[in-house]
This record gives sequence, C-alpha cells and structure tokens, in this order.
Amino acid sequence: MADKKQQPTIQRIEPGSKAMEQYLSVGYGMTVDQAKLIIAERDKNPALWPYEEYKKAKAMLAAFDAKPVAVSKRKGSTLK
Amino acid sequence: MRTILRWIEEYARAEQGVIPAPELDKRIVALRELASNVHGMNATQFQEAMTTAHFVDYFADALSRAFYSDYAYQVGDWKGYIYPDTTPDFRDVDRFRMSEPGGLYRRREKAEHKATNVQDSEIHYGVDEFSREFDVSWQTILNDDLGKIKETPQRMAKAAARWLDEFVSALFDNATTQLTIAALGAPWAGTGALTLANLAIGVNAMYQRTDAAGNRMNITKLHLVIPPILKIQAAQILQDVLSNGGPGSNVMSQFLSAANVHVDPFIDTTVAAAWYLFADPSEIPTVTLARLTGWPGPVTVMKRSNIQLVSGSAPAAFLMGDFTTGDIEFAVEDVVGGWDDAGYVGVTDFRGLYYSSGTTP
Repeated sequence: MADKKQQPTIQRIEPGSKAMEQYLSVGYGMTVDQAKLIIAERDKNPALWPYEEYKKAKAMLAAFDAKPVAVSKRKGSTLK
Repeated sequence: MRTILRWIEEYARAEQGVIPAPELDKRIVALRELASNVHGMNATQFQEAMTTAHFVDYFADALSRAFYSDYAYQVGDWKGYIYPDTTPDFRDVDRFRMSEPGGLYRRREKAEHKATNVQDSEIHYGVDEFSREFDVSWQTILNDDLGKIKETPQRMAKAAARWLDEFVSALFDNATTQLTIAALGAPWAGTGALTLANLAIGVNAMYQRTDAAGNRMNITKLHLVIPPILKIQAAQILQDVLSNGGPGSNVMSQFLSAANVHVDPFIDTTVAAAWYLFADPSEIPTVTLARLTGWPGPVTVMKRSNIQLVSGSAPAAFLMGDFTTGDIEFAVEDVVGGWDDAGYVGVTDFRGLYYSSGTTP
C-alpha cells in the first residue's frame, strides 16, 4: 500500500545520468553517444541515416535530460 | 381572395428575423404580384403558386415537430483497471498491507539467528453520497406531447454514469497525483509521448517494480490508459504495421494486448497527451473505487405524490405531482468514494502505476 513513511526502494533514476541512459536505451535501442552521432552525421549527409532513426535519436536526447512534470489542469480532490 | 392574400402576407412577416430580410422581401413581392394577377388566374394556376413556389417554409413548421436523436457520448472503460472495493456503511474502511520478512543470513557455529521483522502499512477511505434533482410541473408533463421531458429520468441515469466515469478518472488524472508521481522520477514516471519506444520504456519500468523492502514484484498483466487523442497512435503501435517489419514482427503485443488498451475520455490533454500504465487490479489495487455494499450503481428515484383523488377525475400527470406545488420531482443518486490523499489523491498503491507526461517526443 502507499505508505508515505516508506519511500520507494528503487533508486530514483536521475535525468542525465548513466542509469538514465541505460533505462532509455531499452526503448530507443541506442546510447546517448550513438544518438548524438546519428544526429551529427545525418545533419551533414541526410542519406546516411533514415529519418525514423534521426527522429528516435532526437527523442532520446530530449528524454535524457527531461524531468516528468504534471500536465493536468484538474484539481486534486475527488470530492466535488 | 385579397383578404386571404393579406393574411398570408401577415403570416410571412411574422417570420421576420427567422428568414433573412432579402428573402422575406422577395416572397412578399411575389405575394403581391400574385394578388395583382389574381383575377387573371384560374384555380389550377393559383393552386400551383400556393403549393410549389412560396409557401413551403411557412406551413411546414406546423406540420412536423421532432427532436433529433440524442448525441452519443464517450463512456469510460475503467472497470478493467480500477480496483473495486465495498464499504459496509459511511464510516471509513481500513486497508492494510503486510511487508515481507527479510532473506536469510549465514549463521556461524553456535551463533544466534538474526531476527527479521514485518510491518503493516495502512490507508483509509470511505464513500459519500452524490445526487442531483430535477423537477417539472404536472402541466409541463401534460404538454410534453413528444415525450421528451418524460425521458428525463433515463437521461439523468445516463448523466450519473458519465459523472462516475469522470469521478474515477479524477482519482488518478489530476495535477496533484501527477506532481507526486513525477517527483518520484524515473522509473515511476516518464516524459515521452506515446510511441513504441516510450511504451517499451514504460513497460520495462513496470517490470522493475519492487515492494518497500526491495523485493521484485511480479506484474504479469498491464493496462494502457490513454486519452481519446492517442487512440489511433495506440492502435498503430500495437498492431502489425509495415514500419515494424510486417505481420508478427511487433513484440510489444506479447506484453500489452490491444484488449488492454482503455480510452479514458476525461484525461486532461490541455497541455500534453499524458498516458498511464496500470498493473492489473487483481495484482495491485492501484486506484480503488469504493461502493456502499448493496448499492451497485446509480439509482433514479421519484417523489411519491401526496395527492389523493376524492371525487371527479383528473389527468394522470396531475396525480403524479405534489399537493402543494404540483411539482413532479426526480433525483439520481450514487454512493461511491475513493482515497482522497493530499499527495496521491485516489491512487491507493503507486507501485501499480506508470505515468508519462507526454512532454518529450
């Protein structure tokens, strides 16, 4: 159960860390260095990398440094 | 004849404001022309002018009155991922979870055992009564020749169902819960929009869940909860598409089936299209909806009339009303609740939830 005295024991993965890179590479299938390389190479010569890979590399770099935020405008309480 | 034409002209002028002025003027001119030529017309010509040229709009509205069929509304699909609980009365119920004992330690010769401990955690929630009333006069019921007002009790029941969908959605999709989960950071929350890569990260995050003592939890069934705006995207991700290499090549469907994608029409997408992963409620009670025992859903009620006919006869509508006011009163009620925590709001176990704000590609 959600007990505020007990914080989650999984170590929080900090944005920009090596752990975050590993965590994201599960989905994007590349490391941060590879993502940077893909972007740099495609910028010079678009024929080198397909657009999908380029887009994925950009998405990974954006997620690498980003922190989750609240986006809902609804109020917290359920008792209207 | 001229009197009849003057009446028609007056009737036409009554439409001023409904029919644009130039069109109305055109029709009046046509009427006057008809009046001026009335002596030169035979009966057949006059009938033709009346029925085909200028009077269709004037008479049609009196011949046909009907309501369009009601709009169809999006309904919530939350029963697959919300944990149902019941309360015996209006007092809060307590729900506990016991922690697991620790692992073993090496015991040296003649040494004592090392002790472990277990502890419980507890939350409380209860139900509240929610209702809405609608009243009409018995005269309105009598005048309701199309029967639309009489449908109101059924429509109120539908409105209560829509309200419940929104209530359930607000238990987890709100700024406070999102802030709390986002503050935990990865792997509890993410930033990615709904793409195959970001969904894979979310699913992987769910498989890394541990309990408070660090024991790895076994989550076998996941539910993806999305706003309607992501419906096409989710279908594309979970089905075999050419970009995934053709039929059978999309492994994501092994971890998340299309049947476990639920659309929540109330998820707020004003800023970004957030999405959630839920553990199956049989494994983790992530978000709980509590109901009063014996109250399985919204009820519609009508106030019993306190009129008793002593002599004479009266329409049935009159006998449905109130003695003092003549009002006929309906109400719809439901008794539901959930946790109302200052941080988690209605999320009773955050370990069963993954939130992605959808703010990065």
